[in-house]
Amino acid sequence: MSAFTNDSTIDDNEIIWRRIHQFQVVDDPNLNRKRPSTAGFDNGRDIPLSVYIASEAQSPQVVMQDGKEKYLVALIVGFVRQLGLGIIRDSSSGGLGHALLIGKKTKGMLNSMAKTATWVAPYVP
Amino acid sequence: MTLDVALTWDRTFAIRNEPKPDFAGGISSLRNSWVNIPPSPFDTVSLPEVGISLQENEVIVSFKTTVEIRSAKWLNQTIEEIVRLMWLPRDWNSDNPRQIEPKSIERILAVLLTILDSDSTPPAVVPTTRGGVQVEWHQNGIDLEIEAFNLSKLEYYFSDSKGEQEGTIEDNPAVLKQFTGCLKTTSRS
Repeated sequence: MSAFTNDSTIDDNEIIWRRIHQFQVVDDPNLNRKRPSTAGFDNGRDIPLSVYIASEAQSPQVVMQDGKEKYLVALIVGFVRQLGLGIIRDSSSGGLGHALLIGKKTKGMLNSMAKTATWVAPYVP
Repeated sequence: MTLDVALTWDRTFAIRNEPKPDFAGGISSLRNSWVNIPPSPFDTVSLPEVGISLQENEVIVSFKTTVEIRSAKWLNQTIEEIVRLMWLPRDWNSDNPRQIEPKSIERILAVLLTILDSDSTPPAVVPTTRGGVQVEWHQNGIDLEIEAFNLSKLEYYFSDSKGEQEGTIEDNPAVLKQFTGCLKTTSRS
């Protein structure tokens, strides 16, 4: 991956946050918990996905105050890279810590993200 | 050989929108009516026609279905959940979403009427950023998702202990019945 599709200065151990709309939360009896639907990560298969690098964003509260969503989940950068996605910083929009996940997202990849994501307090359904 | 001929029924739902706090499209009343029309063969392969019209604060949903489906537990609940998406505002999330298209709603309802039985489990219903509707089931180790995002395309994802498959269907959604059949088979085993 090139620097335009994957910024290697973002460490694999970094946590990223993704806002989840309240209509995109589902009960998953297989996991025995509520989790985001895959639709919460699907903004269009080839369209960069908006996320926040936790260590560079001010706080979950700041990330949430400009969004229309009610919930927040966390993923690890190394995990999304293993799925085949890249990550780049995006200072043009979204505020401090804003970043984009780059690459084509399949339903299988979306499913992995939706099942692995953990809720970030206090934005938990 | 049993001749599988069922009555068809016209069903009309009228769902009124009276927004409540913290809910984009509150449904405060649901009335529906059945009109019995003359018996005719019900073709389970072709899609049933679903009509949706928005009249001020009321959405009218009409379709024909079998007498068996008429009593299905999933029907009222699922229609309410799907139709409420029509009242999501244009900018309902932070990803610059497209407004949920009535054609997507008609399409997914038609698919459900084709592939679900009277004793099927109701799906979870979620809006998608590209203006579509996704229905999904997660039970007995199976994940099944079906998304309608325009009039002609359906995307699906199925996963069980043997693996996963995903794809796009443009013509015959009846092939998806194999997956909903798996949900039922597993829950009975």
